[in-house]
Amino acid sequence: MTSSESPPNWLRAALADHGGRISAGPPAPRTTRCSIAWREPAPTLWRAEPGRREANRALDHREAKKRCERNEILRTFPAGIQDFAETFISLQSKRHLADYDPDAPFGKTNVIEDIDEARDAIARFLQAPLRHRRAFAIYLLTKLRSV
Amino acid sequence: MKEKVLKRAKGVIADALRERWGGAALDLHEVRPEEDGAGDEFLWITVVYDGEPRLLGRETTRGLRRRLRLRFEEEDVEAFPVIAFTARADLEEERPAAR
Repeated sequence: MTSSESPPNWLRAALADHGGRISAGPPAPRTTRCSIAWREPAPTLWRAEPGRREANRALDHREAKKRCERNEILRTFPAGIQDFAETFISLQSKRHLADYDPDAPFGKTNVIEDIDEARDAIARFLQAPLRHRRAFAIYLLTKLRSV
Repeated sequence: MKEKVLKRAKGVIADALRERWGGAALDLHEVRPEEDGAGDEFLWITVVYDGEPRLLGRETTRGLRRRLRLRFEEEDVEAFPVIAFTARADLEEERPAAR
């Protein structure tokens, strides 16, 4: 991905403010006097959105998988998000197999199918309303406590 | 996974494939139970097809996993279905992901 691209992924949805400032692409350069960094060319700035990196690194993949398995909660999300969660589990399993089992070669058509499935899941996820995507991101990132 | 649970799961998978694709050239090649490092159960399902992958249709393959999960729940099969669709020609050349 080049720095000029601005994919509207779930993380951006979770971080976007209510005005949708980063939803249409990189934010406009800020011109405050206090930071030279804010006057850098616009294409790299969206990466510097406060908290973005921290939120990105906060995702624990094992925990995310567990959350994605919880049907009773998943069913409260739109179908596109449910599909995304199931695809996450499925492809994560295949990724583990590819990483840790040297005797598990993947057939070409099989891999093409998986790439296609990932693209489809992301596209459908992005069609879900922003409030659901944001809720899902928070659900994956935060600890669940009984009330 | 217990043998009788695996048998139930195989029956559910075979039924779902028949319902989705009818008499199309699809074979249930393998159903292999496995556990990951955390002790979670998976069922690795290899489905072999003739011809072009696009014939399967993304909508239909996506629906298959959803249907399997629902049916597994009804049949007390706790494993998560991981499905690999593999062209027959590809299978003959090399082993697929879901062995």
